[in-house]
Amino acid sequence: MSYFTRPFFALVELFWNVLPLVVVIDLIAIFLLIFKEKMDPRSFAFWIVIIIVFPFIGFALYLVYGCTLYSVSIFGRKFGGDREMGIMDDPRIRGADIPTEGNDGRFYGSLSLALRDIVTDLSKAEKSAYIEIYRLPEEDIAPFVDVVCEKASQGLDIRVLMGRGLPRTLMHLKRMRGAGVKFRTFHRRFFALVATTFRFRNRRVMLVIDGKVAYTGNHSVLRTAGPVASRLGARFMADWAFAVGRKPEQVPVAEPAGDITMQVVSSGPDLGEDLDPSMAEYVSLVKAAKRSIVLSEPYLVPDENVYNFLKLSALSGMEVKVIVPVRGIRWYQRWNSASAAASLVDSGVKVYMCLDRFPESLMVVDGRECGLGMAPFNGRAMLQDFHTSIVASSEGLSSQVMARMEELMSHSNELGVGDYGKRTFSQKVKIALSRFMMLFNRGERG
Amino acid sequence: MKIIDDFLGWTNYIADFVMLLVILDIVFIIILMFMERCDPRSFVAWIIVFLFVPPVGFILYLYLGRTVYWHTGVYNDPSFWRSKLETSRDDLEADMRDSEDYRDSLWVAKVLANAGADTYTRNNDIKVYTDGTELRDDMFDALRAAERSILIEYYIIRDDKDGNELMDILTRKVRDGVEVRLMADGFGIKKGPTKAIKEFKKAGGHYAVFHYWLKLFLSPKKSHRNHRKIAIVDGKVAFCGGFNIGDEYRGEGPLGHWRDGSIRVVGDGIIPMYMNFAEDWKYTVKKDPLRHTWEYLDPAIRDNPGQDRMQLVSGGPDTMPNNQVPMQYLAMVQNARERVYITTPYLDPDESTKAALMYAAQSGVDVRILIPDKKDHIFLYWNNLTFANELMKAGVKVYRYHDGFIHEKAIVIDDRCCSIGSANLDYRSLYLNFETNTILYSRRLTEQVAAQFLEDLEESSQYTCEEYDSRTLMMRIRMAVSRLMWMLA
Repeated sequence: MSYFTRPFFALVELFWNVLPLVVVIDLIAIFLLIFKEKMDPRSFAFWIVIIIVFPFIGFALYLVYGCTLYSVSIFGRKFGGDREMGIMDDPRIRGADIPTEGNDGRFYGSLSLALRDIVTDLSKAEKSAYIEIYRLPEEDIAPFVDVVCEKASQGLDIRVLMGRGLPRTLMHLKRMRGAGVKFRTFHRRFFALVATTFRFRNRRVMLVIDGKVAYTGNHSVLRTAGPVASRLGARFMADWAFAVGRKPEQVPVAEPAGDITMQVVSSGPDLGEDLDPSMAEYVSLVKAAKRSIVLSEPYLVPDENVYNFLKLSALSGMEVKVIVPVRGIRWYQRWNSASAAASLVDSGVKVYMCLDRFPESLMVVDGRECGLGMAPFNGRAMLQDFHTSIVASSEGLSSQVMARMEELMSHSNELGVGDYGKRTFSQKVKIALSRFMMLFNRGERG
Repeated sequence: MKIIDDFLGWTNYIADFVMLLVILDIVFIIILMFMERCDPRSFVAWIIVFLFVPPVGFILYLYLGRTVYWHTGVYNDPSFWRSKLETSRDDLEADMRDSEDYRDSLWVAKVLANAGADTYTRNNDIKVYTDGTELRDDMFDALRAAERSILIEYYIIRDDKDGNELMDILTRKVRDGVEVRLMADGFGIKKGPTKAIKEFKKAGGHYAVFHYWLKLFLSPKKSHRNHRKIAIVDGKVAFCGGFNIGDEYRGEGPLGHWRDGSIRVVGDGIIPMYMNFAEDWKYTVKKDPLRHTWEYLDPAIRDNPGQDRMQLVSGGPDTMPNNQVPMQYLAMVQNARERVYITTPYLDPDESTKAALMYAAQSGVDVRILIPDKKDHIFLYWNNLTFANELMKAGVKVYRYHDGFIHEKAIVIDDRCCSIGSANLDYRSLYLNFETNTILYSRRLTEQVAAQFLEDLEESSQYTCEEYDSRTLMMRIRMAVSRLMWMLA
């Protein structure tokens, strides 16, 4: 044995010793997969192959990307808490909150438009303000932070629940904590570091003031007032209880402030694989449509099944419009949107590719019902993150949302029937690669 | 050392063979890359299998791989379909809109017409069969009375009393100067009545095998089976549905009593069936083309006084991604207001149909599914139970049929429209097979099919969550393995 071969043989010997362990781990993984997981057959076949062909590494990948057992166990407690708050009871939309009547609503196309009203409402706060957000936006929010700090130093109950803190916004956080704001991250720190950058993210965005007025929405913002605001407050309390590890506190019901019926729909990985309120939300909205459906999405997924409900409506002669950006946040989203859009166009859906705006998930049905701040419509992946959206039936609010949609459409190109057939070879290669990247889709910004 | 030289020579051959496999694997990977219908998860699984275990990947690909249908010929030409659709759509709107009986079903008819389903026809006389013996007697009588042509397309023709009797009739008809064209599926027929078929060919009958495995040895297309069952006699009478040909289908097989459904059509509804047959024949047989259309159709059907509305839905992997068969299931479930009754021997709905069924049940529609309680297939029975449980939890009522085997593929929505055909509610029928369903827009027939369904429920028991949860360990293992093996079915 020479100087060079000795370490090699040592490695082989080490591997030989570790092998039984690897085999045992693999067997455990396969056992878990077969008996405990409820996946669809394709994911199932995929993970079995990965685990068998790459022992150990495959198992690690499965734990991080594929495993749902952990999420079910860790969020089981959370689901119990949600039940207690009465958030998950309505039989019409599974997992959805009760519909509330007598609300008022106003829609803003972007955060900067809404900021002034947010600050005004906050400065009128008397008791509490609850803020739940994935991370603070990049826009200039200094006036907002000012008023939050001022209120906190006056002794109001102000709580911030964040999915993730970023260095860029850390100075805001420091200031707020210094002023006496209660601050929590949604996940425990270790878990937040390891697993939550691509799954289990808390993407719920809301600001509840005194349980009477609430704001929700990521880029475009909805202001609500009335009982629905206290339902959002209850939603916040349940999430807060999960983060803190205590029992949720009750939120008093607010007085009616308008005449709109609204319903809060929350979805997340804590529901397990069978229940999917956000999918139910889409399906019931699509089913309610008689004349037209307008939908805007941050990206589309190349799955034949997901858009069948939309295709069905288009085939029946209804006017169905879908707005997606030409460029997604990630490079592969662009090509996946393109290939999914082609199959929609074939069924008679009008697809608008938005050039320089980023649409988020919004939906208007018949100009009379609308869904705001929904989870991106992509089938099974909808249950990867926590989302909260609002379904409202109101012509006034729908027309405000429609105005935003019209603006997006005016910055778009409509996709023609044969356009997809003209793609070049290099585009075909990119599309092929993008499909593969969809497995590791990280969704929206953040 | 001659022996060693010989041995080394052999290893060379083996090495060459493995090399060949590797090259083929690479070709398959490239094909897969550009086949955009492939799901990313399956795609990655394929690539890994190809790269790390080439021979296994190769063999699996031959059975399970995805494939492309190049659209050729007039029937696949979009402009042809579009022009055909324009005419049928006007007809459909005018006929259904103002009629009390059909107004609510217009939505389904319109969706399917736009999805590319065959022409809507309205002057049919339709009879529904639920018993094998009755169907056989009627069909064989019709065949015996044939004068000009017989076009017949079946998934299975067994080598037993019925199968041979059919072949005898056909051979005799050929000798009488009737033009007989028989097509069977390469997988379904297996050996079939070999002797009788030989005789039939010798007498001058036209015989074709759809996707014969030897011809498609290097192509995964052989897993795309022609599950259609159509028989057209003289262009006057047609039979279509779920029954194959054999003694088993009259209740004389190992599974005992056999429940199935088929229809007999007289009227314009034969035209799309003929189109369907012509397409399949053109695709399968290159050298022996059909003659002019009206040689096979009787002009008298155009003046048939019947009142039953019908639409033929025939889809297959060649029509992907806009296959009409899954669209039909989805559209019918979505359109139901009061009730949905589904009978299917194999239950494995796709994501969207599953969602539609669950939400329908949640919103108060009476959704009932009837599945068999006999293990006719090693995996599929256990898969039925897995999916039944998922649906049950959302409020769908699932029943198991105890009086023999139920093979019918029927859907009833409310009391206005129903479907009978060859497509099961499973992945294979929805996405891999060539299937034909008939949607009947008729209150009379719907009532009949629904009454039959309720009668079958008397022989069935509801499958409950408690029962599912009390499975034995052996059953759990079988279910788990079946879920993995679903694609080998």
